[in-house]
Amino acid sequence: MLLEPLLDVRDLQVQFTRHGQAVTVVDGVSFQVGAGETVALVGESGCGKSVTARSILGLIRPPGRVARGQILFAGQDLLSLGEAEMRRIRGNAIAMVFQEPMTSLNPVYTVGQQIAEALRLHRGLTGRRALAEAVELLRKVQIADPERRVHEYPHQLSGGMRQRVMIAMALACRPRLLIADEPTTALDVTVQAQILELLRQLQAEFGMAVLMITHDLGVVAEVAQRVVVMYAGKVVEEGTVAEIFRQPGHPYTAGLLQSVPRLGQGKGRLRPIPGTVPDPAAMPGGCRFHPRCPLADERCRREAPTLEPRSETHRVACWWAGPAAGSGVA
Amino acid sequence: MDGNLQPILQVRDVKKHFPAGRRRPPVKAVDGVSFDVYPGETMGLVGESGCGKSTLARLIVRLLAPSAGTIRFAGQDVTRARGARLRQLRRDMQMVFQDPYSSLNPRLTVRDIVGEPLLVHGLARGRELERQVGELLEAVGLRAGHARRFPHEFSGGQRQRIVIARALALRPRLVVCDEPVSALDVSVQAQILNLLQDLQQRFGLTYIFIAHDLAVVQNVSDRIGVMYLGRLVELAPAQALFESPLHPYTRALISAVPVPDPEAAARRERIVLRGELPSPARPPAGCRFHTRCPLAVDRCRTEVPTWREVEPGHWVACHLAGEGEAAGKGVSAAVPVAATAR
Repeated sequence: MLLEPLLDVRDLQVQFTRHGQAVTVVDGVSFQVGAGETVALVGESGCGKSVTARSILGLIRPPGRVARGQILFAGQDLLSLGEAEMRRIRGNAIAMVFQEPMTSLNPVYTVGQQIAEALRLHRGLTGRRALAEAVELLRKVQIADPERRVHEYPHQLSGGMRQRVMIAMALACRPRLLIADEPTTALDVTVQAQILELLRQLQAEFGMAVLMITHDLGVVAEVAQRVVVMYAGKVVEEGTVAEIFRQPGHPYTAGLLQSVPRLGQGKGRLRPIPGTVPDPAAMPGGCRFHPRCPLADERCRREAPTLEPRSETHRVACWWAGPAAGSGVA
Repeated sequence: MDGNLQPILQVRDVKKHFPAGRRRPPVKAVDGVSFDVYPGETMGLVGESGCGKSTLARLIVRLLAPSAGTIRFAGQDVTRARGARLRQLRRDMQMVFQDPYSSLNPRLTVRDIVGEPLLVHGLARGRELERQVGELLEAVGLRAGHARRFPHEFSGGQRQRIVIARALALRPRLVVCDEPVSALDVSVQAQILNLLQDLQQRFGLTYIFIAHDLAVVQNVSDRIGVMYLGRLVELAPAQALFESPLHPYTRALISAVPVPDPEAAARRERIVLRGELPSPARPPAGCRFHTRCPLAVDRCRTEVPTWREVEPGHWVACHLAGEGEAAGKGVSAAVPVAATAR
């Protein structure tokens, strides 16, 4: 990235208190998102990707807290802002779409009332003007018959339509950054394809940046330009989509790519990653992936590797990932 | 499948209609489905939410009774079995559910969970039960020592192993797996898929494998059936289904699966389906897919397509299938890459 990034997360650490003990679930995470760029934050459950996303919007509530780090958005540290200032940013410059559209919409208000509320709060529109704009937004997210749908309640809509409504609300204020946390995970594949296509179109039209949180490598390959891979609260690898999929540098990334079944490869055995994700309260020492890693040696058990550059865009945190692929210990 | 092999399961024109209250049409969750399953094979069933695949699974293992049609297991009518015959059927057919968190009783130890079927059917108790539970746990990649623990002490993948051990306790011949890996992380999903294949070899199991994820289904299946709104629209050997799908819905489904390969993702043409899934209480007349089909012609709106074998083992319900270009290459060309939701 040549320009100053739109979003610059630096050394973020988030802790939760569990049974009186502080558990670090995000540990020293740094990454950037450029203006207009789509970055995927990838990892399995418990890797800290959603907590990272929520930290950006200041949505971490006790017993959780951001213990350390900076989140610079257009040069301004969001962590230094008060709640009132943060509210002006949330929904305006940065918007978020969540996984489950049913739980993010209020069941007792019509779709139109909910979109209108966002328009009133953020753009000062009221009454007829807000309603007309809500209809326009529904049309923008390709909901058929928006004049009728705007008066319907969330339960009257299908899952795919609800997610379109969420996107319409997120776009109400033309955000510069859209954070989408597993936006298609609860949807069927054909609906997922519709929503991903819609996000692509809207991004091209509005020029917004997208931070896509997902566990699905297929979705990553479809939408992202750059990828940040997280494991057990840390970034283990970062690179362009081509680098991550063609020359994965971290054994975890490589393992994930190998373990996904692919269409057309037929019946057969897969190559899973052995073991399971560690408990954040009992993180392994050294490299956190070492108990599951085929390459792990003494050093991996003792010392935690840091992210080291492999190319201008590619960084890997692994003792075995030298500047050139497979060149062994640096 | 061999032509002379007898099917282990025969499903014939099975329907399940759920009443939806007075003055409301019933929900036709499954509405006329027929297929055979052969011993030792894995028959995959795919389809999106509401297509009836889970209802069909429950009909097969007789957790539900069909509204019409017959289901025969090893020649015996499942739907009318009672008493001793029903008990034997319950041993022969087992089910693995999606959510390993809600399908295990949190108050029971793993020993009680896995041993319960043996106890209920009077097959083992005391030390013999202990021994068999230990063997089952080892068969699914756990340790005999895990028997004393409770479900909450295990991860999602390990819990699904416990569920599988319980399903295997009675030495079933047919195991119906309903979304067995969709609640699991990618790396763990692969472990369970491999385990299921190993166990199939070792115990000579027949599987019906239901999932919404085509890549997963294809990884384990010999043959695959595609369901849409309560009906099978296509059924074919797995390879044929992916290499030469005949039904426009199958094509759309395949093209919608995100591919974990950025170059392939950029290259391929995507068929984005229009509109919303119709209600199974009021399915469209004619071909049920016609409201969303990019190829639909007048005939599709009025006439229900017959379920026919276009090539040996390749079944499809589409008026246009097999008519060369019309249903063949034409599909992707005829559909705009990003159709709008109308």
